[in-house]
Amino acid sequence: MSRWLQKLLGLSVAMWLCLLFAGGAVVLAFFGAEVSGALMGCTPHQRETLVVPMFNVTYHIGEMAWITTILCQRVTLVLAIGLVVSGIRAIRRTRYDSVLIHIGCACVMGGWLIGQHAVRTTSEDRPVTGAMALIDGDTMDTLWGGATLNEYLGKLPFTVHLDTFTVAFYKGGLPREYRSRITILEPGKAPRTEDVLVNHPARAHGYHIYQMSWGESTDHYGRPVTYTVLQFIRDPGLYVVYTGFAALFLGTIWFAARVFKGGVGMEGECPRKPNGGEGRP
Amino acid sequence: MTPKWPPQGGLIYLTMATFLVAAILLRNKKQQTLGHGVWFAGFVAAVVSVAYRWVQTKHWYPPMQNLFEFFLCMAAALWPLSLLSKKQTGLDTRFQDALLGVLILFPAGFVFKEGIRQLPPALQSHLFVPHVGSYVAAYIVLARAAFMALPMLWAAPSRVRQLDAASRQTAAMGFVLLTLGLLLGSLWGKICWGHYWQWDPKEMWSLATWFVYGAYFHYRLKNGVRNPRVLSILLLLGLLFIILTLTWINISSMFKGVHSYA
Repeated sequence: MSRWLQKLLGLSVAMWLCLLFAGGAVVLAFFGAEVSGALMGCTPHQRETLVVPMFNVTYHIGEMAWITTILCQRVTLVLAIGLVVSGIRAIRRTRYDSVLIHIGCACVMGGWLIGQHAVRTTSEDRPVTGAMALIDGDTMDTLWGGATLNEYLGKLPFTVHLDTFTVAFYKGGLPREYRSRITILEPGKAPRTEDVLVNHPARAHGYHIYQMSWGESTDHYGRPVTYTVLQFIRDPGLYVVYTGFAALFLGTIWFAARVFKGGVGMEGECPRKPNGGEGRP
Repeated sequence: MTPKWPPQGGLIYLTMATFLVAAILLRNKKQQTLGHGVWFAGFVAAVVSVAYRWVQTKHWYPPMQNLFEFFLCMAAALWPLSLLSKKQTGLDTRFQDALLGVLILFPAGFVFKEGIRQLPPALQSHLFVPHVGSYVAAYIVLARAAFMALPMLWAAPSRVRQLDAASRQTAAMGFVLLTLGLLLGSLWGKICWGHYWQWDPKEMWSLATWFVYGAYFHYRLKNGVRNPRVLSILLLLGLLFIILTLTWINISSMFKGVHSYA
């Protein structure tokens, strides 16, 4: 028993952390996307309204999610700092693959935290996310939320004009393409026309513009109209995350190359000296 | 589950049968030469299957546009992969690879539609094939790593070094592909849904799998092969997580009555 305990405690701390994260991810997988997302990054809107049916009872978990969000994001910050520290320690061992992987992970976490900070501090002058419903010829510069887009979220720093919205179908009747042709009018810039499709967002003033939804309705005179719903998302941490992705991927390739060259020896790549001192390759 | 008809279906079932016979023969120590021959014949059948599909598509580029075509290509890639890994590590994994070939071809033969699919707008992306493709390749490579590490549970210390080298190199290759699949999926999520991470159960299981392999490499780097069983268990745990990632949608629907939000 004590032999096993000794063996377990002698294992690497980083391994236990990895297994801990794996377990945490599995727990969040049980909760489902909506609850996990709120537990990790609750928006001010969710804090007021998040209601989850569970075991035939409805739980108002918004306030709880707000607290776990603060906790989870603080923990993420600590972990990101820890990853930077282990990345810097790896420089001393000239393990640059490890540097890239750990700093890359830290960048992803840091970029996410920057984005979450923007979500927490969203304001009506510079909303972080929201949607607008448009019919052909409409011009709009305000963002809306809620199930029926009746909640005012804020004003965009530019104006969007919908030229046309078209839906194309396959022969069998399945939808093939949703295309919103919009003209973006930014102050002090020439107007430009962009096509927004699923998998093909447009960009303007730090916002990504997505084809979110569409539907049929009637106008004030009872005539049928087709409307498109465009979603606007601003994420100031996005390129920090992408930088992290690049570093992470390069790091894993470098690591695999090292493993193939036989750089990882029998007792680990960087064996500690017998006297316990810091080993150098 | 719909069987396919010849010639494409016939070629797939022929390949599967050949792989199966090869696996049975390779298990028998006296039938090695015949086994190697049949294993090679299976490879030829897989290549013919891909070539036939290539001719059918009438494109100049190789048939890798959907999952059906991708799985055909993976089955054809197994023989060279097995040979390369034998050269690199000296470990003979032909029996396991032949079995893996049957497993890979099963969805191609019975599940995926061979016709050109009418993709909904959300799936019309250049990232579809690279994202799914790197995951499929990663899962196959990591399954091979787990098979290689399995004998470390009981192997004599003299064999451990070779098993460890082979499984470690294979796992490193799979880890690169796994990372690529995760990052491409994240990138695609940003382009398609607007967020690079949605906390979706499938995403969470994929991330958990990534961390399990992270744990394996950290353990290997810290402790070497002092406890080969732990290395073997970690790689098998990774395979278990892969299986759960792939089947979670089906498993979670079993207790949908309780978790109505799932």
